[in-house]
Amino acid sequence: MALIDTDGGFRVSRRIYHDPEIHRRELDSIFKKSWFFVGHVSEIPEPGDYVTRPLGVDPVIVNRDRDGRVHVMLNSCSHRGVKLCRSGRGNTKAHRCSYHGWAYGLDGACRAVTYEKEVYGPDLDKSRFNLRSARVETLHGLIFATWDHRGPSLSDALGHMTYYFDALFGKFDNGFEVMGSPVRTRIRANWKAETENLSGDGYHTMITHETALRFGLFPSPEDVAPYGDPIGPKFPGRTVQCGNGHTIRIQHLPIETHPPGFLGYPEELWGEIERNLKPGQVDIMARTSVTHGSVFPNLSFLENFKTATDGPGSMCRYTRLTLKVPVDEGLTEIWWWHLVPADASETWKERSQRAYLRTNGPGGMFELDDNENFLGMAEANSGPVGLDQSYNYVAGTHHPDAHGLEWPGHVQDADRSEHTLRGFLTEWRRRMELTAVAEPAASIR
Amino acid sequence: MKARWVHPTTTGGPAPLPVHQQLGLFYAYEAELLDEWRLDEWLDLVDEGFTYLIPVPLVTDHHPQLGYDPSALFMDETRESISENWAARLTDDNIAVSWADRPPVRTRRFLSALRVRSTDRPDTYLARLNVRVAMVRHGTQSGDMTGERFDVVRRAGDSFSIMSRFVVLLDAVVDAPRIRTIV
Ligand code: FES
Ligand SMILES: [Fe+2]
Repeated sequence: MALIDTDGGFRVSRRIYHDPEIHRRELDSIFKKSWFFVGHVSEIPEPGDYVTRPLGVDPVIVNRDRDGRVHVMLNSCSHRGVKLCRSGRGNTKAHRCSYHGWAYGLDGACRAVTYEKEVYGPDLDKSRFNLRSARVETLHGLIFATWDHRGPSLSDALGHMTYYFDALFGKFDNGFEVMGSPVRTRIRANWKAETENLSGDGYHTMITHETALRFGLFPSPEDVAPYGDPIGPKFPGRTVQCGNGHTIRIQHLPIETHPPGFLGYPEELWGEIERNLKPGQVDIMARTSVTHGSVFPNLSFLENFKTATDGPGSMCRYTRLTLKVPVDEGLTEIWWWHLVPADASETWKERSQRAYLRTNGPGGMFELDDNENFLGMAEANSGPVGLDQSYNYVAGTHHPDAHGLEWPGHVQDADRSEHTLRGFLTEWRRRMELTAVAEPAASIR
Repeated sequence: MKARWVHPTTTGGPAPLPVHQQLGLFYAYEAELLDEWRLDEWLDLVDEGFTYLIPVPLVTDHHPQLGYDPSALFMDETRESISENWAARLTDDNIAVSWADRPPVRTRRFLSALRVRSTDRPDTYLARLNVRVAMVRHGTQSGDMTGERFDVVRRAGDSFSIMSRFVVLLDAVVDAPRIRTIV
């Protein structure tokens, strides 16, 4: 069968998750070309601040120069490739190589070559040895970079996703900041397993997370009834294919709030949320229970809500970003950031952190049980017979489209669905096919 | 970034040898409870106000190496949260849907280099020890969490009560079959 077969259904070959050959093709087709999230501006506030990150799968330095501009460049000396920054975070005036001492500016320019005249003669053009630099753009403080200098801009690449990003990350006057350095973990699973789940799998929640339900970690209709007008027992959910493989799932609490209630955020910030957003974006953020999705290929975002973080009534919201970086087809490194509104109080930020860490954090209860599924997919499909089978993604194909909304993209009026997973996988197929027909020449600079 | 979490320190000297010996035994029995996932019994060993914190491991150029970001946590639990959201998963009523606990990840804790120091509070000590939690998931996938425990413990009758636990991990990339673990 084709890797993804959409004739009369939506079947996906298990090879796309478990075959090392497909993984090698992904590196060229997807991980050299897309826009990737590499960090948040609040991680490098001062000139000279740097962090080390993956861009796609290559190690890069993300730093701020003396003029405040952010640069992203390969963390590898142009001479013979030694790693330049060895730490996760720091501050420096320049990046000097430990092997022969070449030094690079914060813009990646090759500034100094040791014993230059003696070793290379009088005519060395150092600019030929600038670090391989990426193209950088930021959106609401999120830093994105790409190796592709000729491709679409970030906003063109995000397309309709920009509208949802504005709602999520552009709602506060002074934006978000990180609660410290990201956590890094590894899981023996394919990078797409968790990514497609976070793209909007509202179907697994009540099964995988049944203990969370039993322990009251999900709000019940009774929990939230005091905060608005109840509209019934069901939590209305919608899923959106934003195009280009980007997706979002939005689930609301079963209440209506007049004026809009941004439950779980400090009430003194509610006014600015309403002022900064369009009506349709207010409609997303008001009475939200959970919203999550993915920016193709491997960034996922999640904003969630815990009703009783520090006892009854202490509801609190948290925003998480996760980046799934493939090590190989069966091993993924995950980077985890927790974001809080910069203008919230310290007390609120720490409550948000507790809410996050105990639920959707890297050691939280939701992740514990989610991981069981992603690990299980890898463990059960290493044999030749397993690899010949397919996975199916037809859930919710018959669900109705939503009409009369300001929301862009292909919106469906349901979230127990694989609508967003199909959006993610359709883009995956398009990107893999693009490269398959193009000249597969290795492009070594 | 603001430092939010304070590294536990003490001004006192080494505690008397009998305290080292008693606390060493206490930790051996504590490890048995944790390795056997007897969290309900383990909860009896910790104080009502117990907190369990793990900061985010971070590599910097500094000497000596702190090893973590003082403004970032990745585990923040209390006696209550562990009771309600960890131990409760293992009861007869809930185990069938506690997917990640069935079968349980098998663990063995290796403890060494216990150092106990007195503090300015009576009968209260800062205990530092090295810990390796060896883990095997489903009998095949093995890994570990290795680091140093900084416990504040208080004498409670013949035994001790753990007031707080702060664990500094060695690996910057936490690669363990089960991260949600009491190290
Ligand atoms: S490899 Fe960096 S200076 Fe030679
Ligand atoms: Fe989940």
